[in-house]
Amino acid sequence: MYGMEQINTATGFANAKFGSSKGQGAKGFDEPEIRILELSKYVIKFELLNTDLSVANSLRRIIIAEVPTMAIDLVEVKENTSALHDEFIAHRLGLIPLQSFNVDQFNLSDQCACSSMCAQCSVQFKLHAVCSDRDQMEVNTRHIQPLSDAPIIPVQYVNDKGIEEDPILIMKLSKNQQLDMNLVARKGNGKIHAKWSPVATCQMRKEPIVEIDQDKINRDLDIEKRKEFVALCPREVFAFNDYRNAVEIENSDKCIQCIECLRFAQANNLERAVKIAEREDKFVFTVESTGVLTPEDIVSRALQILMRKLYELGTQMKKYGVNAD
Amino acid sequence: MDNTKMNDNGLIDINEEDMDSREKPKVTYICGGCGKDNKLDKDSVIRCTHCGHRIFYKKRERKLLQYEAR
Repeated sequence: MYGMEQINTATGFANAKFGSSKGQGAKGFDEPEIRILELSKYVIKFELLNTDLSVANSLRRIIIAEVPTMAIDLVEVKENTSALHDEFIAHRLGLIPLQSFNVDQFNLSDQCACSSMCAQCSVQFKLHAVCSDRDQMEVNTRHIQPLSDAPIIPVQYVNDKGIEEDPILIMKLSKNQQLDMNLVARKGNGKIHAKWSPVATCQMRKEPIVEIDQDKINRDLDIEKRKEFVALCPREVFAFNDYRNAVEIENSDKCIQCIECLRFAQANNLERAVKIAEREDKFVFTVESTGVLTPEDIVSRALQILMRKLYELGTQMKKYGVNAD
Repeated sequence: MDNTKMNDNGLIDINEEDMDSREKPKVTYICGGCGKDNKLDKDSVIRCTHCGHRIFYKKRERKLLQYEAR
């Protein structure tokens, strides 16, 4: 069973381990480990070590579709004299990211004790905009006013220099058009609708391994051929060292397994001189938040969900007498 | 309604004579040419009484409308 020994969001997170209590997993891996490579306000890059592809992929899928967030889900239109029809605006409002740091204090609306809507499962907003004194007016997320003091508000983006960026544009109104709506935000996850997904991108890749037999390549190929070999790689994995007149590996991390170099080696009777592969126990994740949660928070929440699922599976398996280890 | 009865196919039959004797329901539309309101009934010619324009727009529903933002 996978059990997280420590996951604290900010400090203790950097080397959080989640691993089997016996020290070695089912496939003879060491303790699974996470190493953070890069962390900014909206992006986290980390390595997941000593796990199977299936575990890494389930983490990826949970990040995308099962981390709960808040999003506008119901729109009550009182007045809409704009050029856009109600459904169109409602859809746009639904896609606005809402800061969901306090998402845990809300219930999913179908699991809430109330019959339809209450403060435990919904947050109310008002959107009122009238264009009276100008030819054209932009309606943006600043026009969305919360009706309660719940800490759920549309995301305010901040750029690298810490300066607030412009709010998200919803639509435009021309003179004498107006908009009056009540909005209801609810808790949900990406499985129900992609608007609840906390991430813009969540990609996972295996680390590539590139090996070349320098002796063979630099002996059996003439200099022109060596330069050709370096140039054929579309990702500039190889470099040509002018002092040694030799091919070197510059950046194996860039390799996309296009096997151009293998084909070239084969054509020149150097089958064994170039090897490319992927590491099966190391996954590099890039998770880009939409701003609804901090990126490290998304990952730790996803790990908690994964752990809970595995725990659930373990107890159910034990109940039916299957060995859960 | 007393002027409706089921026919053999189970559909509601409306007697033409009964229909004529009743007051025809009139719906207000907005003229596409002059923008004035026009009350039109089922059989009337689609033509504005003020400007003769032949295109009309429906009025917006006045009650509160709910949409799922999906």
